Amino acid sequence: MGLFENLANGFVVALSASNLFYCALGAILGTAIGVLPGLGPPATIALLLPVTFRMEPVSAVIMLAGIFYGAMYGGSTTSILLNIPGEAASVVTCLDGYKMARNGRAGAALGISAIGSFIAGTLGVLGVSLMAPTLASFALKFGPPEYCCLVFLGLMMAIYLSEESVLKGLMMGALGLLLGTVGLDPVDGIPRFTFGVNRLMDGVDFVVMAMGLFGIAEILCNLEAPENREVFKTSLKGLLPTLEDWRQCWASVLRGSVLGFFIGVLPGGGAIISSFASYALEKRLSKHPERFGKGAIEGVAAPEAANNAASTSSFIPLLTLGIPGNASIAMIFVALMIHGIRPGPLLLQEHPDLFWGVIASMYIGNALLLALNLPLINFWVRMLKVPYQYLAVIVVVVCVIGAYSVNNSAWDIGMMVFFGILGYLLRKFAFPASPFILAMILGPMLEKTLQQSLIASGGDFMTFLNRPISASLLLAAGLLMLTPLAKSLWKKQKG
Amino acid sequence: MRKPGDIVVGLCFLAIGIAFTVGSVKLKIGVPTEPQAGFFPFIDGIILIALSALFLFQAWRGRAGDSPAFGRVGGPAIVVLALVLYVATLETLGYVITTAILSAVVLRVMETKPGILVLVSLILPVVSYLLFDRLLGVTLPPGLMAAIF
Repeated sequence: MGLFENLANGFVVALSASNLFYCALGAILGTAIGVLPGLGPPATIALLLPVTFRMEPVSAVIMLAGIFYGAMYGGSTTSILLNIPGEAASVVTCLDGYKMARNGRAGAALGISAIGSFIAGTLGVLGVSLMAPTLASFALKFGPPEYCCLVFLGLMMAIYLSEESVLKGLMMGALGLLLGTVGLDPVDGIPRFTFGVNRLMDGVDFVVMAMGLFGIAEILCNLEAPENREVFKTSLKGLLPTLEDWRQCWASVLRGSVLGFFIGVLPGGGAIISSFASYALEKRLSKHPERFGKGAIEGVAAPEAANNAASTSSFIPLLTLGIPGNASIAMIFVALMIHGIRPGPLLLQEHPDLFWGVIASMYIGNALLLALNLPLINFWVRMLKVPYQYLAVIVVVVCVIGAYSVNNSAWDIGMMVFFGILGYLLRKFAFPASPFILAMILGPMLEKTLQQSLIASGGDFMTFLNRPISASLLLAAGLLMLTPLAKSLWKKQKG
Repeated sequence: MRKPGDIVVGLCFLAIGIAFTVGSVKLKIGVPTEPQAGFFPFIDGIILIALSALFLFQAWRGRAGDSPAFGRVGGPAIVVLALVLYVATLETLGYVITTAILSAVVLRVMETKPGILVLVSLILPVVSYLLFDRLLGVTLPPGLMAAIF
């Protein structure tokens, strides 16, 4: 079947009444979460994982994906009106978006951010439709050594790109891999590090861990300081950008979309880096870089386009290689695993309805988000006035119900509280949680492929270097790890 | 600047690395041609020990990097305590009573007005119980309220 036929089948799946409902629900929830500071997409997806237990897998992924890319749309609202990013990928939008609002152009900033996001999201989905099947068929040629090196490279990239301190990222990755070994050994079935606790035989439950690390930890951090939210009072009329606005920023939207798309494909790349990179690119290319930071519309259009394109393209490594590139996508990976579906190159062959249904739902979701964002902006702004304590108490209650529902046991709530405390402390010492959760998820695959490779090669570690694909992947991982060292040596030499 | 907190964190990571390495030796490591259950955690444990040692060295030299300062830790500590008590009493007291107490604690920590605190703490557990237990089929423990629910 050709691309268009597959996509048409995907639309049939995505346009069914229930999937359309879940797509809209995800997009609305995502926008709300993006608008509200203090609860990011990974936390929201983690909170809703237990809800997906009884849903069809396609519907579950469609809803969770909607939350993820919907948050990118919503995040810009708080950046522009409050100078507070609703989620991390909208940090850079504060620079010019808030200035535009202060200059009485909040409407234009919100408008260009929504339309730019729509264009980028749609281009991103088109890119996913074209690129994902090719990559999936290429990945089918991979044997255990290639997969082992790919997982290793994916982890290294996530560590290198996600945070400032590579050492802290590596430590979290190693810790995640170790905790991933808790439970029955996948080869021999021997219990490992369970301390005789039967509940640990199946390993640490991802849902419970994610709700603790993201949901409870986020609430604990926010409990430390009372928030100060003041919506900037400005005119929200004239949401459609003027012709002059378009003339200034159409190229920025396209550049942001392309750059964001390619950064999003990289594990760890994601929406945050893409928004910063596209802002820097626009500033460099501008004939008047001094306008940036003072309300330049390109400074809003490009990063908003980039973070949407990146959030869409970050589905590529998940759907084609089975490697989640960031914490939100990792949660969607967990949702698939709960339904007994293993993301990877075979997903396209074994579950084409899911693969193409999710992609088609993204087209629909993007159109829905544009329809939601512009007419409902006043509603989202009003929502910002809801006191945070109501949100906090609801999150805590949803967390305890979600954790309890996993096995109908208070033990899981205890585990969630443990991971909540851990997540809180890790944030306080600036240890990133994403490499930890990605390593925990990818650990079993890394272990299995490492053992398979070694057994097949008679214990020869050189098998990873003798095969061109695995050697290239290892080389890339090695170069990545040496970059910080090279940077510091370069600085010393210059200094 | 050398921060004692960083050193404590480094030591915690080191201890975890050592514990897993020792544990994997007990599980049997095997050889590359025939890896046993302890093979992968052993390699990973050694890596964590090495990384923790490097982090401790950096922390000792005051170069472990910046981290956000602790704010008012009283609030998070009270909520954690409430959550621990929640776990201990959930099955006996039941969902509605324990959740009412937990909600009240969270709202109190966030300096909510007493009237609203009481109202939300009474309504939220009942509404969430009816929504999740009756409507969505999640079995929540009724505890002392078994006669009512």
